[in-house]
Amino acid sequence: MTSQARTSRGFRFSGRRLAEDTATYVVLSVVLLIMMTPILWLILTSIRPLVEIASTRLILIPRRLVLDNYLAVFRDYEMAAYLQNTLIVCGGVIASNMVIGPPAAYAMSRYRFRGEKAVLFGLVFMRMIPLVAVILPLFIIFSTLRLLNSYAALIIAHTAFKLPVTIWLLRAFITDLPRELDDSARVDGASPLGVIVRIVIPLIKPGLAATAVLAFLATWNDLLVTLVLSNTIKTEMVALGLTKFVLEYGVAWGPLTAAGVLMFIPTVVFVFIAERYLVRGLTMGAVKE
Amino acid sequence: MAGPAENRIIGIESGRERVSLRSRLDAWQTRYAPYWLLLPALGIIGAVLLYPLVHALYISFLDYKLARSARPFVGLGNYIEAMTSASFGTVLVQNIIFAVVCILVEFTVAMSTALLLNRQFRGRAIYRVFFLLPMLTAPVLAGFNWRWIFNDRFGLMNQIFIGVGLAPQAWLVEPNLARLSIVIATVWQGIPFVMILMLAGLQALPQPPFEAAIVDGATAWQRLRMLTLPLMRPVIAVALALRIIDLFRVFDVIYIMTLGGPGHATELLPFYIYRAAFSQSQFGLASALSWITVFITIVLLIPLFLNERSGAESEKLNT
Repeated sequence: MTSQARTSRGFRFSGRRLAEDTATYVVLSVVLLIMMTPILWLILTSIRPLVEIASTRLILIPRRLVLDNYLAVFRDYEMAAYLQNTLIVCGGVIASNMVIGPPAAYAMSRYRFRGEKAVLFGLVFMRMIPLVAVILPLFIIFSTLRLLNSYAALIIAHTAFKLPVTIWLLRAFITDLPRELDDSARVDGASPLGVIVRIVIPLIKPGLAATAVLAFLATWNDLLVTLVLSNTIKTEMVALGLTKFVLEYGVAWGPLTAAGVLMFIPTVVFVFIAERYLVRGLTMGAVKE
Repeated sequence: MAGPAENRIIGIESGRERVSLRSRLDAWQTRYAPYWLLLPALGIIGAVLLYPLVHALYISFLDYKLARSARPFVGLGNYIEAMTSASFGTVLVQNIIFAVVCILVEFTVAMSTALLLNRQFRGRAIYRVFFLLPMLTAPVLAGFNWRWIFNDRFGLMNQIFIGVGLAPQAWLVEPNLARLSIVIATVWQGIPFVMILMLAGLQALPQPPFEAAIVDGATAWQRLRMLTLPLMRPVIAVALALRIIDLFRVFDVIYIMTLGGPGHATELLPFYIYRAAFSQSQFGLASALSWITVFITIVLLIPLFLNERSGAESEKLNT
């Protein structure tokens, strides 16, 4: 809105423009600072000595940098196991989504078939239902199959939870490709799967990256699935691991914040990598940027 | 089928027949291609999402308690029990109010921020990326972040309160303050989400109407009200739908910050269901509650979809 205003004004009002820009910077910086406060406070707490953590007075910058909390996370708590479990499950979820997702998305994008509308609606519906509604029967089923506390159960559950978004998002990316590309290949006798592997996948690499990042983050961040499907150190994931810092006599805020920072690192990395495609992914392709 | 034997006989001497068989296979493959391409995905979604959902529907008609092996059929008993229990009514109303408050705050802040971020200025990309971080923070971590900030003894909030001479508050213990804390933790993650959608919407706006409006001397506020908001309607509808869905799925923040307390003050539907299932082992009741929640979500979304469709049609008529 304001950008149009500016182009029509040209350079004559550059004084006013400078004022507007300054106001924009100031307001945005204040909002950003407020939004960043919890994250900054997390980082600051994790490197404080205990006396500063247990202080009723505000101490902004730690007087002494302490890394004990980070050591404690691995020494006194099972953070290494949580991280390992989470990475294994995330790897499995990404792999299965990358194998199962593209063919389904290709079918949804390129074919008109009976039941297409039902599948489309079903995928949206699956994104809508509260996880809690599914997790209870899933718990019953997995316990009957004796699959509780296994990587398999976690990977299968998470894969299914992420697939609707994966398919919608990849479908949007495939629909953007010119149809002639894969049509001509199919006329030349390539099978649908061949077309997907040799032509479509190389062209939607950004889409695959975005999908993988979203599947990773959703799995990495998940609490409820591990909470219900696992109760041993063998399969507990990092989000559930954080709750282990809540002890009987109170919360071990030092180690907890250190674990929180460690858990936050992949989020930061992936936001910077996939930022451009996040809008599309988060709206299942409904809003494009 | 006589297929295999026949093939063997023909296949030996006739290349032509083999080709036709292959092309028949190809035709079959092509004809059913969408189905077998979708099969693995739909199979796993069906097994892990759809089947449990249907199974939950079945369980919701049983008096199903984990400790007991007898699971008599009780018809709508669980639904009646759920609807008539005082706590469910409280939690439902609470969840609706919570959703409305969060949406109002999120959309106001997000829209203002998006309008500013839509200006061309140096460093815009950096602001944008940082704004995204809260949204992608694990809800568990967000819960702990805010639980720490609202800690009644050593929390940042009370440190600031004491610093400026105010009395420290029991943020997570006093019901209304606890509700406020939950809302803050939720909108902290919701604002960036709505903001980035609004920004995408703003950037996709057509230029000519705005140029015409400026020529006609429309003020910035008039342009926002008469042009920007109506033109953004589809994006706003998508954002609204997604937020409604997610605000009826909030679990982690409650589990970490208040466990629904004090009393039921911050209890929302998912946590209420979780408690019915895993603390009270009332699987039948919990399944009924799940289906009621699914139903409520759908009902809430219907007006939005209808409105959106009629909006899209009237737009088509105008152009």
